[in-house]
Amino acid sequence: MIYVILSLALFFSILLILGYYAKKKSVDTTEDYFLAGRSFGPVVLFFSLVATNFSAFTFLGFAGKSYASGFGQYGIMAFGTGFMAISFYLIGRKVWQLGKKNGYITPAELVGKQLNSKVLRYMFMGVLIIFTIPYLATQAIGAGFLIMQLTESMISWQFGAVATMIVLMVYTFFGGMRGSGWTDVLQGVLMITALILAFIFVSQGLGGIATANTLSIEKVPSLFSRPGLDGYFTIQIWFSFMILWLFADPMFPQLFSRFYTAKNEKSLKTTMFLYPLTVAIVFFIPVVIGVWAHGAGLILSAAETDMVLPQMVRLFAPEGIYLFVMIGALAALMSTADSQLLSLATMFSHDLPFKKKSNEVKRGKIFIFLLVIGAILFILLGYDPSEGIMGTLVKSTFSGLAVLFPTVFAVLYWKRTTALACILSILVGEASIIVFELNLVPSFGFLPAIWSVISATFTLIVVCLVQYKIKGTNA
Amino acid sequence: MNNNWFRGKQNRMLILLGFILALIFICSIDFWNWNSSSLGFLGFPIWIWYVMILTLILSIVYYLIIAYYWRNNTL
Repeated sequence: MIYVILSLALFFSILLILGYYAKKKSVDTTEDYFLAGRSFGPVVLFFSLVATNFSAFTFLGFAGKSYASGFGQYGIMAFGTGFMAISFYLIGRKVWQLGKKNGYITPAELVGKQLNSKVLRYMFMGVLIIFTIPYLATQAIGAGFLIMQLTESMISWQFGAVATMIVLMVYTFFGGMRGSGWTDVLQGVLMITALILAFIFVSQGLGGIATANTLSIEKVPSLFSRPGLDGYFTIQIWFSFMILWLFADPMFPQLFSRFYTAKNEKSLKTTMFLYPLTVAIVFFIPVVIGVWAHGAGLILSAAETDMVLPQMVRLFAPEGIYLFVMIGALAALMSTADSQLLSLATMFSHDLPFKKKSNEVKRGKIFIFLLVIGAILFILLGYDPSEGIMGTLVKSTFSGLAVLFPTVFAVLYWKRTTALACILSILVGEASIIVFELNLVPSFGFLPAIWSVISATFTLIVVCLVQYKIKGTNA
Repeated sequence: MNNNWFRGKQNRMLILLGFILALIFICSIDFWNWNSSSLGFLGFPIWIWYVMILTLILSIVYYLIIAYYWRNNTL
């Protein structure tokens, strides 16, 4: 047990040291603290986008879902995410250019200022915050459970969650975006190495790759075809996920903000080229291990499926590798959480109408502190973010953010776009999520997010054209 | 004239790459493979290799977009 505690302490210490060095390298300006002075080269930007986008869901959730449903999980995640990388060209390139030209710091600032509308800016910011805060709380709790599992309940999940939040608060507080980016590189490398090691040891333990597949297909053949073990992967669901990530992922504030941090367009180009290559390989591993768990005879209840990958590694790998893989999972989770924390603090500090503009960095640091205190209070008061209104928000995060895509795309590409059209598009899109979530209207087997994006796009186009026509008539 | 020729060539390239990208997306909705569990290399389902190859082809298409269409500072 002492090795576990020492390894965790070492991992946390390295993150804190990176945060400290990032602070030493930084100057106290808004652009430097929140965007690392727009200085991320190809390597840092690539790992930063990978580590920020690949959360605990990638590491643990994929394996859990493939255990429950089968290989179909690989298709919707790998191709869908690879296809999403075209947004680095469609959205990222323009965002980077406009950010550099006009000094934009946040997503809402770009949208609001391009159309000269404060209402749109605050509404856009509000949607981003509403769907990001509950997600941050779930990351904290996820970290707690990982540490509890790793220490065999010697450390409670509450203590683990609080300790993780404090560590990521400290390095984000001091290092800002530079600290977040540098730690992302370490966390990304750890995460990918941990997955490769997990694959090697589990496949060897099962007698080789082909044997592992044979064992699983003999026990549960439906894992190897679609719609899968639980019938989840229908053609409509498949189509929905293939296109969903393109709309949702670039709208995550922690990813959108990363577009501003690129040193030049070469950084974005390299990342776009490498992204599909990376997801094609990295996403394969957790999905395969989840399927192989059936062949290994692992029986898990629905509530336990997310721990299938650690359990498989524990069965087939030495203790040290298990420890490394668990720290890899923690790294995946922390890299997403620190980026969410920083992007939330940036929006609170930069987008809200404070009178003194000069204290933005100081204010951002205060918000980082307050957000972490808030998350810790939630944890200590026993609040469960997977239930109630917060639970609904977490479940509908992707839909809620995907609705913003038509607005961003129109602001970047369509000269007839108006602020009113964007505001109505967001309102109609978000309202349609509620309508579909409550099953008031049939979704014909597609994800509600697809209908919400269609509703938002339709509203935006119609309102713009009507306004254009009215303007033309009056002229 | 040279400039027009270049812009025309660029637009043709964009249309071609956009068409290829759309084709790859359509190919990813492989309804013809539904309910199939035929095994291929290393005992994985053939359709899994199909999805992986499509994802890797995306990288090649992105490379072509970067190399032939993405011009710096086009704002």
